[in-house]
Amino acid sequence: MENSSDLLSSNTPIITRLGCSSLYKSYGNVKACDGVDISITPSSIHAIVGQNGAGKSTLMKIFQGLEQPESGKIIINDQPVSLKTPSVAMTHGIGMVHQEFMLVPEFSLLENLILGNEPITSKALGLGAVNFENALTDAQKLSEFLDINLDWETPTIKAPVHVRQILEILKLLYKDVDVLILDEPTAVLAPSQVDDLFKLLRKINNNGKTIVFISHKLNEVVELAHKISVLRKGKMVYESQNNELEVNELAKRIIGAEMEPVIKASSNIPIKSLYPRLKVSNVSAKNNKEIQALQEIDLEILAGEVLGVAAVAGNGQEELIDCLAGLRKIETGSIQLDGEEISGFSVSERRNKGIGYISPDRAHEGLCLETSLKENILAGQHKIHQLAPLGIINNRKANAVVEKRLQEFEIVHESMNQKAKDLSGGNQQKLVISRELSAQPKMMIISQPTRGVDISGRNFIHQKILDYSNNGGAVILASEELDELLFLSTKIAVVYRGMVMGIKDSSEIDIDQIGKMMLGVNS
Amino acid sequence: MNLSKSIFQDFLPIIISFFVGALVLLFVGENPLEIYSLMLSEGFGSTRRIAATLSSATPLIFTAVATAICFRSGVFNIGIEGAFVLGGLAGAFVGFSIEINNSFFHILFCLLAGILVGGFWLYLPSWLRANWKVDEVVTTLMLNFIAVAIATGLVNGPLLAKGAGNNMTPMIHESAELLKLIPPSTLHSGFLIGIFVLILYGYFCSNSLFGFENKMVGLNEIFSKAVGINTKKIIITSMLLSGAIGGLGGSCHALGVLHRFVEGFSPGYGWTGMAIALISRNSALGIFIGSILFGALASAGTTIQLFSDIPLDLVDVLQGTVMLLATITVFNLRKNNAVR
Amino acid sequence: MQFVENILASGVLLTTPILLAAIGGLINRLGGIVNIGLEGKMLLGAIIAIIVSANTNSWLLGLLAAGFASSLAGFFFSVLITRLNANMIIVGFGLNIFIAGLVGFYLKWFHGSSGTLKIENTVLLPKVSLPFIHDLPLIGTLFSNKDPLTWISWIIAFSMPWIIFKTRLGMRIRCAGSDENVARSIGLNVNNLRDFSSSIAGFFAGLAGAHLSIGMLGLFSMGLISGRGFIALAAFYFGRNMPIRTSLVCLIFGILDSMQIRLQGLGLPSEPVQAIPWITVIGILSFMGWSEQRKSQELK
Repeated sequence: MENSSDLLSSNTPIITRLGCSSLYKSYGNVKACDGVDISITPSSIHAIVGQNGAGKSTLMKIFQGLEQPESGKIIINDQPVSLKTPSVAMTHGIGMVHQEFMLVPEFSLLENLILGNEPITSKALGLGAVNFENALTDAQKLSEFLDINLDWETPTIKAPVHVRQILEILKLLYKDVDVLILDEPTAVLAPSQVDDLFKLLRKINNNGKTIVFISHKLNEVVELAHKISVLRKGKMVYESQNNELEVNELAKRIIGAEMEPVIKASSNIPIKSLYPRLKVSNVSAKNNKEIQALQEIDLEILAGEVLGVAAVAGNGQEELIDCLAGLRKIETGSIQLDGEEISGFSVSERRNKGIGYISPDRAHEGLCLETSLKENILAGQHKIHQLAPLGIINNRKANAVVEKRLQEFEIVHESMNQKAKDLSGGNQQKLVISRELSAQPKMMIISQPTRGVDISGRNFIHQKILDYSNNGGAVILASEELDELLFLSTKIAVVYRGMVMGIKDSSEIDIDQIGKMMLGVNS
Repeated sequence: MNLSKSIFQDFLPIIISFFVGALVLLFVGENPLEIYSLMLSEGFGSTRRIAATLSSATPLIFTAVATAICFRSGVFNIGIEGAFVLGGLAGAFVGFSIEINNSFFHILFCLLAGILVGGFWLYLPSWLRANWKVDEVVTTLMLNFIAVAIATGLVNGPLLAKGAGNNMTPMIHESAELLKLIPPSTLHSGFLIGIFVLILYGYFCSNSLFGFENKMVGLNEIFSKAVGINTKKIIITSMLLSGAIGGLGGSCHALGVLHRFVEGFSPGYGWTGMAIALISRNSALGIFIGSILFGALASAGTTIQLFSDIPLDLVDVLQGTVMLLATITVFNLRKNNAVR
Repeated sequence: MQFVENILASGVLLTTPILLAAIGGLINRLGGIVNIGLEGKMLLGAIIAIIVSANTNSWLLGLLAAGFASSLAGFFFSVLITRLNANMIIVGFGLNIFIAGLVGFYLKWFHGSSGTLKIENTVLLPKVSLPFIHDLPLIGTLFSNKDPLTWISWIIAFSMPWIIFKTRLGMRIRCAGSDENVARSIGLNVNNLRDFSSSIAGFFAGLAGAHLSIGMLGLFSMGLISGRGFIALAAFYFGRNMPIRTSLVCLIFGILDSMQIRLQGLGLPSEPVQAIPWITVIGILSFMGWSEQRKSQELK
């Protein structure tokens, strides 16, 4: 496929190899893309940065032809185009390396490279005998050119993650892709592997390919990119050429910390007791890709405290929450509740000990959307056997309990028997929180409490959390909304690359400082 | 609108299966309407016919409930046939090998034997599924065949009736026989036990804590784990319970109809029960209707052979079609199938 | 020694239907569908083979008709799964029952029989011996006087690795079975690949059934298949979808089949031997589950 920005023709040089103008896309009433403008120069390395939910993945899906925008234009080579399917996008030379690699685990590296474009020796009755010699030669040519050494016969499942990633990139090059989009490529890499990846990308770029690079990790982006665009809440809020880069400025733009300082909630006086309510010592754990996600985490939470965990997504925050809730095993260290060791306890055992958990995944983990409000509340009802003497549910009592919950939390509903999926996001979240708080646990583990919730719901939920902690409960709170974290927390722990960078009292907090710690700058 | 679509989709397999059956009949030159109305009268036309239908429905009630308990919780247990057979053998064994004068106690022990053997039989696959996530479909499928092999081996070997040609145990003692409800029909009190089990199942579904948690695990296992439901316990208990009910059904069948255990004890009651559980979407009322329906088919199918040349295999055609279509989604309604 | 040789020789013969069905089932599973309906397709193939062979005086036409009929059944079964979201296990069972019903109905209606069928002029598969092999000591006895289908089934079995691993079609079918999303992202049509693999499975199952009817005694009966469809399933589960391994497992199962028939003839219990395939599958699946569980990051 010809590189359209070939200057041998007498055309004027192309300004925008890939881009969009006034792009809108929403899912329900969530505006994923709220008027995005972007212009990616041919043969450049362009980084797109932003938090989770900022709109990056939606934008990439649109560029790939997996989603269609509601309005606005997609621009390729300065012309507006429509990308109905990934195949269409591929004909324009656009291809993406996903976070979840699209590789068949049982195939060898070579087979994954050629799948879909297999070179054939003979038709062989329609079976298509594959010419593996040619394939190998092509593969070797490609990798030599890029100065990489791969054992092409290795089964993909045995190849280390960074090798699989290189394979994904080579797949695109094998198909003559010209604009390579990479989604969080360094999430799965160790620091030395990141250097190798960058060398590779620069080589590919020197060869004329355009690279679009999505990431959270600011210092990496600064190292690699020619141009950086910052997305926040579906809008492009900042663009910079690398030569004017100011890391701190960028940091603020991503987090939104240039907003006015928030009014802090009144500080609580932690209730003194012999033990901290929760003590986490030397905990380490792996993530689902078997990469180290947490290392030597030490934390303490006292009764009446709200410990906020500030981290950019992908730095171990999710895994920490999983470990505390009982959904992930810890490799080393211990977790103690009021002095009692609980690291071996399952989720239900921890609940019985008095730990409540609000999951970041409301749709699958927090609620059962297909069933009624009543059943959602009963399913997590603490000491449910009190409502079910001899194993038979006492409907009168159960209904009374359910009604009380729905009232207490002002959950807008028609009937307790309607399906949970019919509620608004805010009311759904209130449902989850009411269920967890109703057990009057000693400790609450909360992750993304107001994701997808409107303003009034947010305020209500925040008040409930504060009430709970004022009454002596201990809270560990993870949130990507920095202002929410600052508002609710009495102490903030910043986590970067699976390690605690520092724990500060909320009264001493400086937003700049937090931002820097979250991004690993000035560590 | 959604509700009527849902009902239509539920009845669609039955409607189409009768349609397919009609096609077969037309193809061989018979009048489907005539045959179907003959089946209707043979199934329900008189007290004796109804009794025969209910008698044929009895084993199906047990196997359908047994299957439904597991399907409801997302456990794809297809091993009820094996539990039924082994339960029947156990019940017959206690029936002929022990002498107890008191009928009530003798029957009680026989039924207990069926329950215990059936439940125990399904413990292994349930443990494997709960602890090592081993696919219960294949394990329970294999266990069916092993169960039949064991039963056949025993009935042709150590448990063979003396003087009998082949393939059957001695008769059970009279004290172990289940009472006939409407002699001379084969309807026996096992039917009443089955209805009782069905009512318990209905109650289990709507009112019991275990039934509630069982349903939640089937709807969303991740959610259930996260809110603290002990999913392992639910899975294992559901399988054991389902095996126990299957075994109870087998035992009733041995005590009420055959009065012994024979090779070929179950002409596929487990599979028919599965079909019933599927189209009734695990509901107690649906199982009742489905069991009567399939019982009528089986019973009428046998007797219409007296009046016409229509082979009994027509019933298999109908049942097979129902199973083929029972899990399709024509309208894109959310379904809680246990798909693997 | 003669006794052992006899068991082995008839074991090879009994292996053929299991092998053919297992190859079909293996291809189907590679494509992503577990075919529980092999039993029914074998039954269909068996009766079609005997009818067509008798009416056309050609065993070859009988074989082809059997294969074709069963591959249609396979296609139909697959479409219910791929396009209508039916549950593959239930549809497999339903197909078995449905076909048994149709075949039984046909048998009674058109032939007045209650379960067996023997038609005049049925042409059985011929016996073939390759001269040079015939003279070899053990292998000679095992592989002489065997019908062409037995030869063909082993040839196909040994070509399977090439077909599955070295052809474009094989690669794509495996991709469709391994991960739908990956396949779609490459632009492959997952449904078509799966339906195709089911049709192939049906074809082989039909041939397998045909072997049981016109390959041995020229007799059809409703109980002819007697669970071999499920034994084939056990074979490819145990052989972990690898063709050569599966073929060898089929051979073992065939020899076991031969043994248990002999045992029955001698009045000894054959059930323990019969149960071996089922037990091995449970064993293998348990082992795999255990090793997966050790690796997982979930809290137990």
